[in-house]
Amino acid sequence: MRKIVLQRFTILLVMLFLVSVVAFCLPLLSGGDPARAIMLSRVSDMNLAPEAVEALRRELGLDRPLMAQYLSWLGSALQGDFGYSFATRQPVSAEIGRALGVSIILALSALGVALVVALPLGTMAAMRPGGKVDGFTTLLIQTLVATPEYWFAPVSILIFAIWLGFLPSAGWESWQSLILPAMALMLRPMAYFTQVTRAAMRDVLEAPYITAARARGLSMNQAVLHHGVRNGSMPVVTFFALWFAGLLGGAVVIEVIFAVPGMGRLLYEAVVNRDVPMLQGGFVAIVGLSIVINTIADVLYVVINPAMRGSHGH
Amino acid sequence: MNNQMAAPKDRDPLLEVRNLRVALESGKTVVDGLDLTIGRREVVALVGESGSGKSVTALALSRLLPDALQLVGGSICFEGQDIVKKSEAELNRMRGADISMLFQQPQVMLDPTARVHTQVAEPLRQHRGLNRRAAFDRVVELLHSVGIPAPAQRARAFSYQLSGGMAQRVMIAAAMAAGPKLLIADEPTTALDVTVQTQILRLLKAERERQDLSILLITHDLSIVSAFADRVAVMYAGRILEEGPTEQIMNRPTHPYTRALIRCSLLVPEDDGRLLSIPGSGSNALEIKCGCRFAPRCALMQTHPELHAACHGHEPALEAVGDGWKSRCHAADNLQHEGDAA
Repeated sequence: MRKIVLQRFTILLVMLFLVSVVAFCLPLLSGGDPARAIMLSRVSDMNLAPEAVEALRRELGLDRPLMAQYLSWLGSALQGDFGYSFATRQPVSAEIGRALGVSIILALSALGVALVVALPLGTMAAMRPGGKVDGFTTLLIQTLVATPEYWFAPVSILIFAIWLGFLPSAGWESWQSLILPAMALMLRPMAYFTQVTRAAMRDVLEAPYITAARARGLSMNQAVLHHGVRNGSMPVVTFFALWFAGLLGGAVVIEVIFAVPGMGRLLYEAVVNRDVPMLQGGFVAIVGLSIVINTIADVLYVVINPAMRGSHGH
Repeated sequence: MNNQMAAPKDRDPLLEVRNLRVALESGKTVVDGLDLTIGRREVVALVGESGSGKSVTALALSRLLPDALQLVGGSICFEGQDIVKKSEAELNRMRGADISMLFQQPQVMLDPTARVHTQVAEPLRQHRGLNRRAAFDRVVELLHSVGIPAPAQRARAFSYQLSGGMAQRVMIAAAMAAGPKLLIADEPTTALDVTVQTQILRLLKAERERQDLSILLITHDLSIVSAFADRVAVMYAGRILEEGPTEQIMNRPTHPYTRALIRCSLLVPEDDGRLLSIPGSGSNALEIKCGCRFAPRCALMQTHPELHAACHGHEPALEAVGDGWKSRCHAADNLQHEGDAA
């Protein structure tokens, strides 16, 4: 067990190093002269004096070798210092920290509710294929998948905020502000989680150890509860991790519609403003967090199914 | 002790299967009118090649058929009660308590995410009402009794940490936990090493001696049968072709199929130096609606052309050829006399 955690952790560090290299190279890849870009962001005068640009370049250390630049960038990045946003002049890390907190709360509430609905629903559908629950589930999945969030979001604002008037239509002030965006965000993952749970439980229900457990006198429900759910939850863990990582920066549409100050909106604005330090910091935060989340999922597999220790341990 | 075992018919049989029929959803019959009797403390071997319906019979007896298979007729009397008529709740009380099962591949029969002791404890907690702690202590005793070294540690192991033999011992401990009266063992040693096979069979024999236990041993291995079973039932295409005391059947089989099976299992070369194999396959035999189902593969057909009309004309009934000995062959009497002469 410790060996696997250690192994995963090593891979995690290597991945994070690669992420830092890519993040550092981002502005270089985008072309253009960073010193010039910074000057432009400060004085929107296209006819910059070359001497002034040169002076800024020296001041920022951009005339040093790339390796030296990377190391000093990495040094500050490790201390959480990604510089200052071109747009807001605020420290990038503080802005990202705030936005990431919002995104994590939003993603976890959406995915949490999705999971709470999907696990029992998918399991029940799997236990009686072709039955009432299964039919309802199939219908629900198709409806959820076919509902675009850019349609659902305004409609839900219309109904709950404008007509009924008991939920705020936008912003991020109280827990009520969380409800509508989380609802819009959970549609698709709820459908996929249900589908994955159903498929996984179909396999598990036909597993020999379920028959063996029933031969010991367990009812079908007991056998599923004691021996099925844990085995069937493995693919769901994978999907949860994928969606969680994806929603951290990927809920742009929802965050923009509901004016939620999350990562998606932050990065969207950073792109619009050509805010390079913000993009760098955001890239590191999101990719780094995705890697951490996937590492946790990997370790979780082994916790759920100890037989994986055999295949991973060597 | 020996007298009791030799005369099980003096008392009511433990299990009496009459005209058991199992069919696929498509309507295709898999078990077609199976009759089987198991006496108290008796070991009955159910023998046949793959596809003959042995494993389906095993699952049908404990009403654990998968959705694709349905029990469409017959009765399964266990201690005077018909299992076919039992409700799901009654079946749950019966499984693991009165009737236990063993399976072919013990390692996949164990939940990979659960420790050994939780699974062995299930019959105890389910049927004997033991609490977690008491069940664990009993599990350690059970694991010790089936010959598992360091049982207290093994109890906390997962299935991937067990060898096939160890896993089957665990399955036996679980099957025996609530003291069942009948053990249905579906090829319990087929997936194991030969040396382990013997150990497991010895263990089953010991359990039989220790408890008031009957065993239905499903196998295709006749060498196991003669060493282990009191009686043999030979199954072919969903039906019993011959049934009787092991010694008589192994020495003087009265059905050409039994004969061929025994000759195959001896691994003695024929005159031409090749090992005997029964020509053709039994997989389509269930579709034969007219005449004996074994007739197309029967060696007797070649040497006795005069039997053609009878054997292809109508199917023989399972009729007595001796004391507790039945055969489903038109030429059963001839074969028996042949055997006597030889």
